[in-house]
Amino acid sequence: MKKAPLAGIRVIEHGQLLAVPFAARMLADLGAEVIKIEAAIRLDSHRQTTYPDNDPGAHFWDRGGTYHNENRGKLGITLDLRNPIAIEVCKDLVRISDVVVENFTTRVMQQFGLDYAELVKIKPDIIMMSSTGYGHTGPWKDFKAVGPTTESASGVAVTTGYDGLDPVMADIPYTDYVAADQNVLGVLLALYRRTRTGRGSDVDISQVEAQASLAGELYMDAALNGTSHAPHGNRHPMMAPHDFFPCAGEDRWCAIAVSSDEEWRRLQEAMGNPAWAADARFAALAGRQANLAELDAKLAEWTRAFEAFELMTLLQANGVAAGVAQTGRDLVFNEHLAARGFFDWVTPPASTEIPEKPYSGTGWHFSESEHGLRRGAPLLGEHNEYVLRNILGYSAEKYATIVASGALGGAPEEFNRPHPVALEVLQRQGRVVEIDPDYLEHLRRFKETHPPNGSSK
Amino acid sequence: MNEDGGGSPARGATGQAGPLEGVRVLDLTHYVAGPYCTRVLADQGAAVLRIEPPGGDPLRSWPPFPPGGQEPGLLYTYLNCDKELITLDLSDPAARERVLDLARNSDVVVENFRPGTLDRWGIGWEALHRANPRLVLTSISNFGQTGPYRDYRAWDIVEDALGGLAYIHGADDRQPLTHGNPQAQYRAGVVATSATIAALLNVDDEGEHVDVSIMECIASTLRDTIPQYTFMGAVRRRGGRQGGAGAITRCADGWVIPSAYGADYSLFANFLEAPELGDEKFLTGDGRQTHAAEFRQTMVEVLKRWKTMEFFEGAQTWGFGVGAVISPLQNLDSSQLRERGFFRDIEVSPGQTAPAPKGGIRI
Repeated sequence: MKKAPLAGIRVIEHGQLLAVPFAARMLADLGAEVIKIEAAIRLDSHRQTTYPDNDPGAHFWDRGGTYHNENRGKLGITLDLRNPIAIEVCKDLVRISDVVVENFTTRVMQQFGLDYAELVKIKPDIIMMSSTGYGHTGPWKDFKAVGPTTESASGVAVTTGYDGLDPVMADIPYTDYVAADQNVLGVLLALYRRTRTGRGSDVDISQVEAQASLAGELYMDAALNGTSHAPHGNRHPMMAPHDFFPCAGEDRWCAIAVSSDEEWRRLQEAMGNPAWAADARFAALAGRQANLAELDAKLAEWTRAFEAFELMTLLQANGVAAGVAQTGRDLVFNEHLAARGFFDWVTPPASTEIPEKPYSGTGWHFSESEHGLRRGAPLLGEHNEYVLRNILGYSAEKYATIVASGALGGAPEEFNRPHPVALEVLQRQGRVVEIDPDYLEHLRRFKETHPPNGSSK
Repeated sequence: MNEDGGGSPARGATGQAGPLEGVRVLDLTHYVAGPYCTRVLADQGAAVLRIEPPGGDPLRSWPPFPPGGQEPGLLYTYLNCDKELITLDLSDPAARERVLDLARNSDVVVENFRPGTLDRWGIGWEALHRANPRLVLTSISNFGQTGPYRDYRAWDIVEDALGGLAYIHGADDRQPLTHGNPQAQYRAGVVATSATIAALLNVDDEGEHVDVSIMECIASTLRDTIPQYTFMGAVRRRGGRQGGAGAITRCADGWVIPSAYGADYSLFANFLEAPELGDEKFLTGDGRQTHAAEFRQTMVEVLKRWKTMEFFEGAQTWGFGVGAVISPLQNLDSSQLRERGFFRDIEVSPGQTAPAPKGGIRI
């Protein structure tokens, strides 16, 4: 093995929600030392959701499951950037860092005197990556954005939804992740350039552009053919059937995608060659497309009898592309992901009272490079003293002065205690399909029978 | 598209030296994820030499097509511009030495055949590594190079399913949805590009083999879907946006998202020229919750009077963080994207070009 790819690289994160915190977590996975800077007086909303057993507990801000998932592997400090001493701490950190990543709205870093133009004065080869909804220039640069609104503005959302109905986006801010992937890429490209030229960079990433660049063919089609895109269900121009089919149980589905006439014959065999499937209208793609509603209905009659995983296994054994629409629970207990060591099992600090749990990893595995340090997400201000004293080398007196100045920010106790909606209510509303009261025991037993291999390969 | 390969390095989309100037990439990919990875590498200045089999990449016959309907399709063209192309049948044992020779002169090989295919052809990781110890080999596959699903077949819809995205995408009384274009493969292409550059940064005397799983690219990005189970034992399902402020809602000529989070609703009502929305009972979050159905119905009626871009740009100018569903056709004229120089012309057939996105990274 060799060291992690970003070992020795220090990253300062001014991030909130997803697009930058998740990108910085991927950089930590690659071995960077990430120092996450937060404001104790302006809590990230991801710290305030998905509590253990839905119970915020005393220090609710340290118990948010979504926060823990997106912020593993980092150091965390609190700074009140309205305080000039906090700005000096930031600048001292920049002097000994390689990369700054941020997703404030466009004017914030400038207001704090922490924009690229200022930072290059104190660290000429600094790399600064800014991730915004629409980019740092242009007439929309100050428009407010969240993941769903940038997805909808990107040209991708209009193609997705049930046939003839309104567009439908997934229930997560999908484009935040699309942007996060490209935030990571932007930082890596800038680091690569720096190793060759010694120069730093200002990296400006627009979520809308990140998402639109994953739809080049739609833009070219619109420009050349005047196509006005609309939701087209799960239909695919080159495949039929191509949809989710119902399985036994509540809300269980298996995707089936038939990409050739040969695969259609294999699907018929998997079904035991029923008479309806031998219909000549279905033999070739064009006929299956033309009679899709009838074909899908017949196929659904057959799939309904199967448990979803059983159906997937049967179809894959026959060479037909099929996959269960997995739930969060399915993923955690998925044999394939477990075999590949996809989940990181980590234990946050004891004060959170969060036991060891599996957290989703990343899509890459390196044969030689080490994975970054595997540790839980930082508590709010957990590493204030460590970062200021040990990394910045401040004296005990200087640290005490900074604490006394209020530069590290107020206490989250000022916030109202959150009152999460009861799971039973969410279940009644249909937001939750199932509640497993024994989930901790199930996790513990799964870990025993599937010991995590502790490496990324 | 160049025909049989010369050797001059490609330039990035801007024509200027990109960060990857001088990096040589051997591209053994097809369909979407692999070609997008090498497309981004080319955008950033790498010289990409692409190998296709005698029949060509099957993606060439996928729609949409340029006017006239001739191949290759636009998806193929978008993914494969700025690359040099040679034709070689990799399954032919005679091709083996040629590939190893090309690998000796490359920094990176990217491939997305089914796992085990390159080994069967004698050009897998071991052979490539012997030929060029400093080489980075990036393998992109549906489920990765290991594990019980390794040999499963998949397309985007199957990746969205097994990756966990589909289950939380769609209406709660209907089947799950997949995206309208191959998002899973595109995204894996981006992740693979990052992983490739990370491996390049870490090359000493030895390169390495990078294994990218499309399913894992999806499963890693589901926000609270997994924590809802691991923290609370809850299994979430789709449909959470239906009827809320973040719901896509019809307007006079399309769809908008009336998500004025944290806004003063009396001002929002003023902007919308809709006094009915400024009613006392709708002014607080609690009030909108208590009268949710009535509020939603009122908003639905009000938005029918508004056109997409007038609503979106107008409300944003007032400071409301709303959204709009903007189609590619509308975005081609977007003042924002135009001013930022987001589009570049790509040749789609002799003498015919089309504007296409430049990519999300600006350095």
